[in-house]
Amino acid sequence: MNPAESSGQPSPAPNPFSTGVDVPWCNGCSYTQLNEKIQTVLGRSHAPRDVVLVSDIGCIGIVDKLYACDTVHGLHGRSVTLATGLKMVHGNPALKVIVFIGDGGCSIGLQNLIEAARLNADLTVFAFDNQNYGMTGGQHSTLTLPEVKTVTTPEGSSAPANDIVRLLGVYQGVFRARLTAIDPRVPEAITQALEHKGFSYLETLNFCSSYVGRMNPHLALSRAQHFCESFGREFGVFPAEERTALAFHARPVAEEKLNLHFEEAAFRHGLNMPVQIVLGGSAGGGVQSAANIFTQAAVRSGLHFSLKSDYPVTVGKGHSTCEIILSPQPILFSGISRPDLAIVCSEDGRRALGGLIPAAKEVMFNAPLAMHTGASVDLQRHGHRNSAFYALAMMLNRQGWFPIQALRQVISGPDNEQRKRTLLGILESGLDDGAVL
Amino acid sequence: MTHLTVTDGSAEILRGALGAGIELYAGYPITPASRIYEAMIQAGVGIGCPDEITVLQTLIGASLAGKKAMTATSAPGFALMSESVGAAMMMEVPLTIVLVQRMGPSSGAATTSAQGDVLAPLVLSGGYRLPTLCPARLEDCARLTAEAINLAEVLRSPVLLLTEREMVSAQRTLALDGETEALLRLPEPVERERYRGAPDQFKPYGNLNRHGVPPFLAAGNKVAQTRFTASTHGEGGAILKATPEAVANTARLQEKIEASPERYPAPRLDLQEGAETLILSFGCTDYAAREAVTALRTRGVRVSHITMITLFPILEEPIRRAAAGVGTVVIPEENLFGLYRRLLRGEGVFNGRRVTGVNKIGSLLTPEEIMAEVCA
Repeated sequence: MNPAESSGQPSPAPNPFSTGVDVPWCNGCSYTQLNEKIQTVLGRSHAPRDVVLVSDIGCIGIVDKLYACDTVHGLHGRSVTLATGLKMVHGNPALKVIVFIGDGGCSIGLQNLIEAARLNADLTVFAFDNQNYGMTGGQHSTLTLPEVKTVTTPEGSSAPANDIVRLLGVYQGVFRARLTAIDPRVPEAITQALEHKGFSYLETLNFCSSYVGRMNPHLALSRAQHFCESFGREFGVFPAEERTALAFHARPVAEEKLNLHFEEAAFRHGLNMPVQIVLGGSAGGGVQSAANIFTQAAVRSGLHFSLKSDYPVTVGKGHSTCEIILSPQPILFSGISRPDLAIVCSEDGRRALGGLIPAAKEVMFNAPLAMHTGASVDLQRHGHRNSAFYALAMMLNRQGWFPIQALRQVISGPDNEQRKRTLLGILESGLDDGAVL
Repeated sequence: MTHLTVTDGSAEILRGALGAGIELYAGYPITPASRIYEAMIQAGVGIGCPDEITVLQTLIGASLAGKKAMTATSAPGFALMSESVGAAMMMEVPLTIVLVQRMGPSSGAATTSAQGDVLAPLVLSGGYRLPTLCPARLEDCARLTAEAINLAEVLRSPVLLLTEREMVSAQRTLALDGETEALLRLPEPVERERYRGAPDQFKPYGNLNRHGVPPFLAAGNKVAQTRFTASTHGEGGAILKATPEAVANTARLQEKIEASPERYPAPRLDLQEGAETLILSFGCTDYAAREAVTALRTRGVRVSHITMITLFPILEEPIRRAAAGVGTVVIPEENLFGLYRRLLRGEGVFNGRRVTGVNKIGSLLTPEEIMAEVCA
């Protein structure tokens, strides 16, 4: 303010961003001056209807009532993510979304902060580092410097403090700045942070007057930069070349996605009551793909089915099983406790099917397995990957649940281009000489 | 000839969401909800997040921008979301969460179906109950997803769709017939009520409509200043201590949900004259219950059946009517403790009738197990 303005001139128009509500912060807290500086810059560069303020939890979180723009006051540490979601889908691309967060919010919300920077969310984050959780009584945060004593670190800390400015330096396109609250460069840094398209982060350091100041009388903000730099904490403004900021717009939905497509059966099935089949093999044994082809063919023959799969969370090893019910009528309960048929392709499959095998009315198992009941067949005849398909095709051929031709049609479809020749070859190779050994 | 289609709960939830006009799905991988996440990304409405807290906060932000937002998860993810669910309820943010149940507690058995999260809608401090819909058959999944999204909009509240691993992952056929067609038809999309009054009359949590819901202006709108807060507040959206205004506003958050039971999907009734037993079921267990009912009636056992599609708010009146005249109520649930049964009993819905459960975990409840309890 120049001297002429302070003497006898009419007082300046009230800041459009200010509600005029009394500031809530302690006497001696720098937040009051910092907030005035932000409102002053905003008042020059933006209209309140073009700005949304998202505030975190803690002393700085209660800033919302001072602002005449739209405000959101949410949860501790999550303000940056909420702001990201708001900005990325907002219908007004010119909307400026600013976030007020403290060092506590940066601690609990570190992941949120880093993710927003990684995605280059178009936000301006004002981080108010007062070196403690002032609202809850002066506990240390992960930004509290090791030498600073707090009620929870009365001797200081042996662990280093998080340096958010450095952490965010990993990401291109992110504007970063750290200044003490009394640094004359603050207004210019606020302007630059607001002008930056993409993620910008301005951290201001001050010492909480109610707690940190009392426990650390030797600390003074005028010497804070020097003090912090002795811990390797850089101060200054670090602009960045802008990169494309995050935006998301849902793809329009094609009308046909909203309707199910029912197909008329092309073949006639031969079932008058349900058949329950369990299929057990190993990862890579083609169990799931065989079950899919088999059930698709059943549908083309007018049969209902239910299909459930099971395999370990590490899909590339261990068992792979399927439970299939075929039925001429709609299926309700899809559980199987006494299968009509158990097909056991491997030792993994045998272990996974467990008690379903002795409960089954009929068992077909791969020849090398020693089983007490059932028919032993060389299911590996067309290779490990085709054993499940071979077994199902063989049983289909024998039982006539639905025409083999339906299976052939599915195999010839677009989903099975790569394996088409192999699978058709299996069907041509003669299924009834599959020969019970 | 029969006309058939093949689908599963994951695909149907996607269909319902698209039909309701979902504009942002935020996801994090978790069995058994991951296929929904993948399908949403493929449909061009989804994004990935680094954790479930981020998921919910992103959705809250998007919903505050006026967009329809949803996610799907399982119990461990929902636990991480729960603080944000409370924030969404407090801020009156529409969003929809599909909670796919797997066997717990904790990481539990990720690929084993269960019904152990029936009380998840009661997770919020204060005992608030999130509106919760629950598909009882594959044909319900799309419609109820759309209904849940519509309800979230109308109520300005988070809404749950509670389902199971069994429902989202089992592939099934559906036949084209009259009943199925009606169940598969999606409701018209509904938008939250926007504020249309004079700008200077706008109050973020005021001007309530007849359902007790404040008309909405997005954060970053051009009409009037709005405020959203997860802290206790009054009409103006500024933080208040427990003033009478703030307490009334806090109570309204549940009152608006309970106010109009008729807006929630009604239970399905299959009542039999002179029934001695009522089976009350929900979710996948309903398949076994339906088979049990048919088999029991074939044997001459008189039994009625009510299928709850809305779990919360508890639709007491239809339950009372269905239970009128029966001696025993049997409630099958795939959890050990009869979570919904105990809740209904505690509410006095059954008026002193004998209420028993069929309960287990680890595998699907069978029709035979339900029949045995009815005949016990």
